[in-house]
Amino acid sequence: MIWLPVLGLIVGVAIGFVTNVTIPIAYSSYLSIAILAALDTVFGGVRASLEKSFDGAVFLSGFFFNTLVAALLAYIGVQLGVDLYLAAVVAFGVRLFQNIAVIRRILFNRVGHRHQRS
Amino acid sequence: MWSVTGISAVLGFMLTVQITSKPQASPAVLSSYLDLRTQLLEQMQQQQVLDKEIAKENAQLDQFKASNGNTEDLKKALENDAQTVSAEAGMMPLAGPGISISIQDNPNLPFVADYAGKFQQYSDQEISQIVNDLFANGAKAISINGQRLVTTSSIRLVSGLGGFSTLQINTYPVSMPYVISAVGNVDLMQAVINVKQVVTLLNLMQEDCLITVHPEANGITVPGYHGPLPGTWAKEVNHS
Repeated sequence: MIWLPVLGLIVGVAIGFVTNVTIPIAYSSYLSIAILAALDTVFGGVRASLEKSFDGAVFLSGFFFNTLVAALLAYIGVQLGVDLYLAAVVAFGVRLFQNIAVIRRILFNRVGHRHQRS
Repeated sequence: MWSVTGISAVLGFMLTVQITSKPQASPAVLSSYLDLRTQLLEQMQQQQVLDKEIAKENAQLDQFKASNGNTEDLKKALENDAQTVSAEAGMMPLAGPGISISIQDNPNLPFVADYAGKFQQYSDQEISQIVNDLFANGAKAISINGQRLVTTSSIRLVSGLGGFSTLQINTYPVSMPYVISAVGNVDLMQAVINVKQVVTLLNLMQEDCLITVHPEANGITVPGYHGPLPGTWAKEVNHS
């Protein structure tokens, strides 16, 4: 069933191209930070599913909540004249790499177990 | 799994929006690039002209050097030089392909309140504008009612006590019809007159504007300048 998220991604990209939605350049940075938050959530979800602790509600709420808060943080930062989005970039960046590292280890362990069994 | 699929779709959409919203080459950047390119081309053309001028001056210098001691040759070289300078200063009549623009009052043209009578008030500005457009688009020599335009020429509208205004070219009063004769690239000059809608605008001001094209080799003759030269009345003060 791994193809379903991939299909979802392709569908999303296709919708993006077909609708040809563009956002003003001024808001581009907010979307960037929101995308980073979304990526963090997705990798967190992948990690949770590999650890067999995936919770759909937590995943969905985390996605939207993190995305919105990240964009809001960037907006507040612009209003205050402080680069608050950097906080989100660092936090999500660190988490993203941690999640990727955990996913990598889990996959390596699984591959190792298969080799041991065979 | 469906939630992950949905989120993936949203993520894909966001990514696409972000990528497609990236600023392309903005018109301002493109415009400044085009401006720079035009300026560069102009500078290159100017350099070519200046190079030619330098070569010409060097040739003349060689001629002077070669005629060193020979009075006849030196006289001839000086005469050539004087002729060149005279032609460049607009003192010599020129003939060639060109156009003539004749402007005359015509009260029978439709009356447009906003424009009627404006030409009498601003004839100097209107004619200056036409002359500038012609010079900027292929004209090599221009005269107005037989008055050759040179670097020190003036186009003035002078008002008298009775409220009548007289157009003066090179301080000589001229009367209607005003005939602008221009020698040069006929196509370019015609094009600028069309683009600037000179005839239409003058007609709105109740002025007839007759444009005659003379494409033949000696189609139009522009007389030389015969007015006073800058040094006629004022002399440089020599302190030495």
